[in-house]
Amino acid sequence: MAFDTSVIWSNLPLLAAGIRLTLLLTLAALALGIVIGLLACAGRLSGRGLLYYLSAGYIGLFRALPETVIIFWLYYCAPLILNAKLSAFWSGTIALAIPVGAYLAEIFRAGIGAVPRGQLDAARAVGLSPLWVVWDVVAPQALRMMIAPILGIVTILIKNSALVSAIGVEELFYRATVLAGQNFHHFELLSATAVLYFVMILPLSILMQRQERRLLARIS
Amino acid sequence: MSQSAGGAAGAMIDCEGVRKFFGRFEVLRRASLQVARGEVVCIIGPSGGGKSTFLRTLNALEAFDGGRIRIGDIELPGTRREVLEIRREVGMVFQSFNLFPHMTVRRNVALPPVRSRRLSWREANERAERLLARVHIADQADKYPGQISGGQQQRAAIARALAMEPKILLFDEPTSSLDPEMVQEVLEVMRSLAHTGITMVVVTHEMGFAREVADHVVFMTDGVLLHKAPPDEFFDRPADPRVTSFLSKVL
Repeated sequence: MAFDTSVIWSNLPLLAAGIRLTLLLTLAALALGIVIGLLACAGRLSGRGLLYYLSAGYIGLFRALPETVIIFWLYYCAPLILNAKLSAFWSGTIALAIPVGAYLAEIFRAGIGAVPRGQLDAARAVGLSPLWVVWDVVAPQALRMMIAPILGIVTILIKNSALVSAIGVEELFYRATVLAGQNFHHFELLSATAVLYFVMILPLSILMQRQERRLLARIS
Repeated sequence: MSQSAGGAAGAMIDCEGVRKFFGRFEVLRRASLQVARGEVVCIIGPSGGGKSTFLRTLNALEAFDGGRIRIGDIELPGTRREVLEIRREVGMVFQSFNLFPHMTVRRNVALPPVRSRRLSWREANERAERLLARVHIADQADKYPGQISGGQQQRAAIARALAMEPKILLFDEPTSSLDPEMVQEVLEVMRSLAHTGITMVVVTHEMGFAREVADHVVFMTDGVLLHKAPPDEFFDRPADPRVTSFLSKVL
């Protein structure tokens, strides 16, 4: 079977438009996921109130559901309840953000929990007010521990963004399959798509490794 | 009335009948202690006797469930503002140093007075350098805590505790996690501080230090403070059999 690279080059502008949407989707879902994650994390740390159970329930539920089910449910079923239909893009963004928020909430909580108790003691003992305790002592140490797992979530998010092709969001994978369906060059276009995803994720992998090395260097 | 109780009204630290529970376990069982301005008190006693917990109630790191604690003019538990005020007047040095690992030694020391809005960064850095010189690690100011020895870290922690120019210093087993050869350099710094007139409460297992530096030694076991006495009397003529028994094990 011949591998015709010219098909890739001639369709590159269309694929590039797909990449743009993939990145846009990822960024929007990540931003939304961070907001949800912070709220859910705050809820889980709030003691045993209504907010605690809401947050714990949200985290437990959406870590258990397949992303595809959330995407389809939000696009096809939610409108039946809400009497309003979101665009495929926004429906897909929200569906991707919901589980991301659940994972991030747990990463935030673990990061905060990993700051040694003695650090809080010391920060309070020198008379820092609660806001400065968080700003100067808890947040910088917690963030450092969160970076690698957050980058991992972003990696998974980029890959999962291909799932919203199923509801017609014209991101990279959707473009590739549609083009291939028209010109029957599945081999070239899907191979090119694989390479493009890899290239998008490569910098994150490098960052993650570098961060891990820095963390290890600090511990030793 | 409190004046009749041994001049407690003039005390820098005045604790009467302090109680604290961890669940159903009573860690502090009516612990009482008065510490006068400029006095150095060493608390000794077996592990699990409540020494650290008691010390931590003095700067409101631990809440307590009964009795009274007065630090300077402020009664605990105070308002949030009063708690901050107490913590700024009371420095604390921990067994495990607890320096902030993501800041240089200089910044560790300079941070507290900046955040309490008493000094600018420039002034605070100058103060930090003076304090680091005082604990003999001026040359380590730009390093991170992970890059210096345990003894140097603990001296940096002492400098940090001094950064707010406190009237009281609390030490929670400051040499217990140090390698033996570093114990002396930390004790030396504490010894020189004791002579400056600052009020010190030191939880320690260093009997030699207690005997030499303390104005009074007090024994803590089972959540009570017993037999506060000058070191000579405490060590040579212990009044309580529990003290005798403890001393026979550690001396």
